[in-house]
Parts: sequence; C-alpha cells; structure tokens
Amino acid sequence: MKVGGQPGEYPTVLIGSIFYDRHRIVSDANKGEFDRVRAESLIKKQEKLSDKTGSPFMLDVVGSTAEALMKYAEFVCEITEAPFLLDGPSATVRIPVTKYAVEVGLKERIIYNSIDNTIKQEEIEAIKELGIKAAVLLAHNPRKLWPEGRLEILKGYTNQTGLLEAAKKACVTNLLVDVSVLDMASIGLATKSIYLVKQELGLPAGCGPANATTTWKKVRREYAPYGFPVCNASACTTTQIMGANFVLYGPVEQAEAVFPACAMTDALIAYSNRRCGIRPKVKNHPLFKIF
Amino acid sequence: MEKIIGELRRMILDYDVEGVTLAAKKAVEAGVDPLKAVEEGLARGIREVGDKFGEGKIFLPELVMAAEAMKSALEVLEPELKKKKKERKTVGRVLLGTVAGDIHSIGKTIVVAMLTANGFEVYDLGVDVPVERFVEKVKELKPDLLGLSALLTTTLPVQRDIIEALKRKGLRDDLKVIVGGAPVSKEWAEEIGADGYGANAAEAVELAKKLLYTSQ
Repeated sequence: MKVGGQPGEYPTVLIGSIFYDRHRIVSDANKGEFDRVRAESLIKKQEKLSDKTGSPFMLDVVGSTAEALMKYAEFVCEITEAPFLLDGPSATVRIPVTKYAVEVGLKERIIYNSIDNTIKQEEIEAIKELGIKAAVLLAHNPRKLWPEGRLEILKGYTNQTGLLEAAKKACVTNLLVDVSVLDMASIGLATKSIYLVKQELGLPAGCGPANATTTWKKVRREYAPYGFPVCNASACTTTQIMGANFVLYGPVEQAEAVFPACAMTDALIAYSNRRCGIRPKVKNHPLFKIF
Repeated sequence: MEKIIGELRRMILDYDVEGVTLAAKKAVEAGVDPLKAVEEGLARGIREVGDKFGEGKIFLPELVMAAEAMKSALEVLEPELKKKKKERKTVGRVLLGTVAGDIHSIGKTIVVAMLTANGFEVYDLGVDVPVERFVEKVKELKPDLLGLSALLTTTLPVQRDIIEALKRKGLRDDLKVIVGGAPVSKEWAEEIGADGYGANAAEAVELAKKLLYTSQ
C-alpha cells in the first residue's frame, strides 16, 4: 500500500480505530477480552467499503495493556491482511507487543504508533533492535501549536531532539507524520500543517480529526442523529483538501459515513489535478469507482 | 521597568514562549521587582487570555501556548522570588498529574492552562506519574488541591491507589483531591473518596474554586 504522492495520485488511506478505550465490543480492557463476532464484522465492513470506494484502509489497533494489545493484534491479523497501527499508551505497552509481533512474522505489517517528543533513548533503541521500519511521528508541539510549530518539533530545536532525528536513530524509514489535533478549532491548523509538512519535508502527512470530533458534545446533543457522523466525515475531507495522505477517522463504526465522503473528495481532487498532468497511479482509484 | 512589565504581559498575549522567557531574563537583569513582574506582567496577561477563552474568542491552542509561556517565564522569575523571599498571591496551590500507565497529556494540559489563567499556582508533574511520586510531591509542596487525571479505564483504579496511599501517609485530611478524565464519573469520584470531579476543564476550575473557597 502506497501512502503519499502528489494530490490525485494515490487515494487517502483511511484508518479506523478499534478496541479503543470504552469501545463497546471490549468487555475487559486489561485482559483484552472482546466480542470477536462484532469485531470481525466491523473490520469486514471497513474492508467492503474500501473495495467498493477504492479508498485504502488500515486499522489503528488500540490497547491499554500489553496483554490486551497482543490479543487484539493477533486477532486483527487473522481477519485482515491490511497493515495496522500498533497503538499503545506508553512504551511499556508498545515495545513488548512490537517484539511479539516481530517474533510471529508481522514486522512488515505493523506501524509503530507513535514516536513523539517524550520518546526516551531506551524506546529508540528498542525500536531499532526490533527492526521496525514504519512509524507515526506525532508532531505535537505544546509550546508552539501553530503550523510552523509542527515543523519545529519535527526538525528539533534547542535542547529538543527533533522527531526526524529520533526516527533516524531508531532506523525507521517509512514515516507518517501525524500533525496532531487538539480541539475542534485546531483541525484548521492541522490541515494547514499537513500542507506545510509536505511542502517542506516531502513526507506523507495526515491527522486524526476524530480526536476532536469525538469529544464535541454539542454536535451530538443538538444535531443528532446526523450531526456527528456528518461533521466527522466533513472534518476528514477538510484535511484531504490540504493534501492529507492518511486520515485517522475515529471509531471504525464511522466507516459508513467516512468512506463515501473521503472517496468522493479524492475523486474530485484527482479529476481536477489531471489537468496539471498528475494522474491516478492506481487502477482502483476512487475516481474510477465512486461515481 | 514599566516597559519590561508591559513586555511580559504582551508576550503572554502573543503566546510567545521564547519572547516571554527573554523578557523575564531582561526583568531579572534590570532588577525589576519579581513579584511585580509576575503579578502585573505574567498574571495579568494570562488572566486576559483566560477571559478571551471564556468568551469563545480564542481556542485551546492559544490557551495552551499562553500557559506554556507563563510556565517558561516563571522558571526564570521564581528563583528570584525565593531569593527575595517574596510570595506570589495565588488563589491556591494545585498539584496535577496524569496517573501511572497513562501518557495522555492534552486534557491535563488544558486544565493546567485554565487553572493558571484563573490565578492558581500550578505544579504539573507530567504524565505516567507513579503513586509514590504523587505522595512525595504532596509532602514536599503541600498543595491545597491535588488533581488526578486518567484517560483510560485501565488506569482509572490508580486514582484510588493514590488517594489510599495519601491516607496511609496521613496526608489526605489537609488536602482536596479532584479527579478527571474521559472515563471518570461523579459516582467514581464518590466511590474512591475524591472531593469532586470535573467533566471538563471549565468544570475542574469551578470545582477547584468552590472547594478552596469553602475550605478557607
């Protein structure tokens, strides 16, 4: 799966989160017990929508303990062949699960989520030792939350090693820059940051607008039942307009709203950019499937 | 002198971490009263930022950056306050952190920013903070209020562990404890013996004010 390229070449990769905290299909978040039938159905639904629309997909597999995350990862591998993000809340969760994933031959399929400004030397060394090649760089810079702050945290500044340097030390070569979303209003800053990161660094960039939309209570309260799914999908398409190569669209349950909206947006961008000589580089691009 | 104090305020209003740090250093070099620099420069600026946020004119990015700027300038000015044995006027001293096993920082950062903007003296212990460190810091800093953030259902029980540890060390009675985080509820706060919970940052600030005012 290719992530990146000029707008219109490769469709945006849509990443749904599963087993996230308080996900209804999870019965024990410590032990990683969950409803396997419902989990499979959610993954399959995303897969079908991907086939239908031409929008590629990944999963953000979230677990709060190593035991749980290991079980989730194992299950996801049984159900789908898509790459997935291994998303744990700390290195003490992520590293043992990554080690396990490497041992069972999943090294090429996992994307380490994530390397951020709090990363310590031990974690960098562990990633290097495990030979993980793909990771998300979380470009969150609390002291400068404007778009240029994302570049600053990626490149580094006084007394702060840049995320690019950390990734280099960890020998990670396939980078996805998540420009980070703080609140609803900051989705606008994030989209601008995507443009900036791609322009300055030429790296695939995207973000998770759902980090904000899922906490936006007013939209659920005052605009139910369509407010949330529509605004969440709309927030995702906003990022595509500024060149997002991937979107963490939130709970995998939102796939039905997000896939057609994002596929349509990819198609519009691709059609428009054909006039500039940029053509879709995959046969099943949404431009050829969605209309 | 007035010019430097004005610069401190303006840099907070510009959310400029580097600029405010330089202005703070300038204030120290020029022998500006550090208390005046904090109260009439930084605190005034951060209150204005808090007001604008409350009115919906600015959003979280600005609030967080202003709090970061204030923190950075205080790192320069606080040693001066200590040297000159001057104490900041604050609404109360708050110690905050995200509990062990949890690295979520954004919610806590927002609460820190809002408390700071409302005149509290805030000590942020960061994320993934072990129970023992909370206990140690309560002993050392003697805060009026302790805020415990947990964003995961799996780390929620650590809030209880901290309250229990404080009780065992005899530190719980003189301290108000509030809890927060997405999975936290009023029932949970009651169950673990916290003094209250805030569903969001604004509620946390109101709760902090209420608890400290009524206990004074």
